[in-house]
Amino acid sequence: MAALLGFIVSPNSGVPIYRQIVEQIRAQVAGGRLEEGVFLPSVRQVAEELAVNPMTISKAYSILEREGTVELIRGQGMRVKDPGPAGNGKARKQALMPLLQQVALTARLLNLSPQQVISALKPLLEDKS
Amino acid sequence: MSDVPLDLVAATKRYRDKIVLDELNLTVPAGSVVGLLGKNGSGKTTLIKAALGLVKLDLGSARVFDQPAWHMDADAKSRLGYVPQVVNLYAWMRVRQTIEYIAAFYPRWNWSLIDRLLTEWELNPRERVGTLSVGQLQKLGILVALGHEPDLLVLDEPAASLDPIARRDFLKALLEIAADGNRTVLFSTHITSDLERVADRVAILRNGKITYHGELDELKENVKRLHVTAKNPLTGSFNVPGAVRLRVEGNEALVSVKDASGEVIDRIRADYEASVTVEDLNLEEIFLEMHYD
Amino acid sequence: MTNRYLQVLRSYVRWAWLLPALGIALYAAGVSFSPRLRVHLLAFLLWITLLAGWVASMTVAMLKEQMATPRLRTVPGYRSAHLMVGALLMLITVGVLPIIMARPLHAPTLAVIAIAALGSAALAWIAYWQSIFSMILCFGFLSCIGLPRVQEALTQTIAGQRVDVSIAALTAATLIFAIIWLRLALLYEESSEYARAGGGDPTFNAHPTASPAARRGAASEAHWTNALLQAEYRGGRRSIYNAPLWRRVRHWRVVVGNGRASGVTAVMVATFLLALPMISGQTRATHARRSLIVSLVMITMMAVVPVAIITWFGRWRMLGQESLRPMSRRRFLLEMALAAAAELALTFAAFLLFATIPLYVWAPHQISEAFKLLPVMIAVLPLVLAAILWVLRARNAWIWMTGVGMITALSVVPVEITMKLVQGDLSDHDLYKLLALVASLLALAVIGLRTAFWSWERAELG
Repeated sequence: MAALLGFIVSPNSGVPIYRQIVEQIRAQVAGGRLEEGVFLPSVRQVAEELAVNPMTISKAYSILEREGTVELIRGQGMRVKDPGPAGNGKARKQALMPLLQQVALTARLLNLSPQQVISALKPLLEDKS
Repeated sequence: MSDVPLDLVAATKRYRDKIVLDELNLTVPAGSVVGLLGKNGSGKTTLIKAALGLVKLDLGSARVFDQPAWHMDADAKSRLGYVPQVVNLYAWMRVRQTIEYIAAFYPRWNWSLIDRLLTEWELNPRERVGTLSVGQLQKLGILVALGHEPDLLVLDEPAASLDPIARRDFLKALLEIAADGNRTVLFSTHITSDLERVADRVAILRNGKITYHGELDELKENVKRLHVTAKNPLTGSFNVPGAVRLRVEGNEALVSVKDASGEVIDRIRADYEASVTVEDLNLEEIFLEMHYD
Repeated sequence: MTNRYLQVLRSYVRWAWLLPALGIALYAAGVSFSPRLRVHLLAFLLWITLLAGWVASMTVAMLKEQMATPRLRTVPGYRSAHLMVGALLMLITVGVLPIIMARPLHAPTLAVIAIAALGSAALAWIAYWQSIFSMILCFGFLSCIGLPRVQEALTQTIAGQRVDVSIAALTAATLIFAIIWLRLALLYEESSEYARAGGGDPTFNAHPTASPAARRGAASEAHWTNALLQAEYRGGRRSIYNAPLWRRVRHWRVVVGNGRASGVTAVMVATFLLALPMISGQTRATHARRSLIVSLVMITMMAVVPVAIITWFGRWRMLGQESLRPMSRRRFLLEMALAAAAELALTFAAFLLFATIPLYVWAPHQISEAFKLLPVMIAVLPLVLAAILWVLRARNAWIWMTGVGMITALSVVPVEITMKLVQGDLSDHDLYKLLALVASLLALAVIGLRTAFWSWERAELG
């Protein structure tokens, strides 16, 4: 069973908590931090740790199950499935989308052109330190 | 447990010439945690009191577990827990005595839960109720409403005078209760971050009516603020269906909409030749947007 | 500068002042209709004293209510302005009011002022300290009027023969007021009387925790009286859900301190009664014995009401919460009413029991005679209960206070009869009248209780 995954949940963000969790698990699975066969912590554990409604966690888990990121093993919990090479890339891109949207919004407010944003992003992406 | 824990139909309550509840409808589904939001003086307390039969409705009906709130029987009341806004207990009694006094009225009482919470919440059973601080008193008020493990727990601004640690403890206790999925919780608050943590549904009370009641996630997913930048000036002509708040300046517009579906956004893009950015709103911002006149 | 005083004065303008105005009107009517002024002089004087005392106690209560707040320290000039305005109001009350009212009585001004001032000072004292002990103290002090010697001195004073008494009374009153004003001038958060504003003694009260001041007062652990008055509740972890009615009713009474308050008060009253003939020095005179029976009935009837009602008044704010305990609304109201009835009955029993002791000591032959009155005394109780339930129904403190006065007046019935009995003019024929009285009292009580219950069933308890 995986340790508590270090979810970062901010209840007073505009993004519903279940979506925050879904996106974080997706990202961790896609990025390989959560490997195939690892069990997610139980709904109860996460709910208690984050002090959020357990229904929210189970909602997130069932979405992940439906889309095939995890599978329910009776009596044991949610197990991470193999993301596969194709789904892998798509999922990873998906996970980045909300952040990119935020960047786009701020860039627009700052009156930055797309070229300016991309050129600013590039060194950050290439930075290996 | 098929009966509806709490149901208000066309509830109307007047105080002299002031209408506090105006043909208000609210059904709290079993197993849900409903946060009741409203600004000061919007009638949250009156709504709760009417729902529990402490206040008589002028018109309409209030039912608890399918019984009229005014005439609840022993069975319905033993399934009900209530924490009033101002916790009132007998000052001379000790904490332990207070709990024992109240516990005695109920057919069952979960002493192990209460003993555990007493320790966790750092309440001294030997202390006189009168010397407790406001926050401790509130904790005690919550505690005595939990002992009989009510199926419906109604709390009127329970966290108002708790410090951050106590509030977190309280939220955890609340979640513990809600965890088995059979218990129903209705709580009023204006601390939206608490509500966002524990509630799965939210009801917004405004001008004596429930202006929104539904899932919190749905609310957050649907209510968005759109930043619209158009080619041509938007002044005068700009309009969006389901707009809650609309501000236009030159060829830019800031609009909060109730239902920010792709359809709506595409329509704006097409109609005004505009670029649209969607901003997520948290509950507090949604609440503010909805109360903007 | 004057502006500040005017503002303070304005804060004392409340409609409650109309009540003494009503009293003055009644007094004026009484004076103009009563042809034999001299005979009723004492009664009129008593009326003046009560009125002045009522206004004085109201003024002091309001003064303290306004001063026992944080504003006392935070607003500049707040304390001095209130003290000045209060003193002015008090001067009018005990100086000007009695003079004007005494004019048609043709009694010496000094005597009237002295008596009114002393009575007012006593009532103001109660209003200031708001403790049951100050009440008992003043009650004992006022009941000295029943002593023949005191009455004699009083009569002489009114006749203008005893200037020394007038001066002594006036000095005592001035002293009492001086102490009150001194306390007010020094009042701060931790003064023992600070918390007791407008609520009555919290140690006797089923006092809820709504106001921080009341909480502090109620929890003032240091006071030895707490231990005496409040039996430690040891309910344990037993449920009364399925318990018989009497146990449930007993459980409701837990919060009023297990009813020891009435017992303690009763003992004090009994001690006072026991000492009364010794103070008056007339242990052998039949006159003293007779007045003893009268005081026995009077005290038993009159003291029961305030004690029973005070302990229950604090419960009002709790009714909403308590009505949500698992039982039907009717059942809840019934159990509450029964608990109030038990309170009344137990207080009555305690007073009766302890008041019998002095009677037994000083007038053993008249015990049987006194017990003839028992049926009337008991028959009044249900009616008193009905009145208490009606009064508690009103959430207004002034209605409440007036109501308590009226209930107390109601319990005068047995006192009146005692008077007749002790004077020996209650014949066998009168016994039938007595029976009729008992029957009609009970019938009235049934109507009163029934209607009170109906009214309570419709009451919003939140």
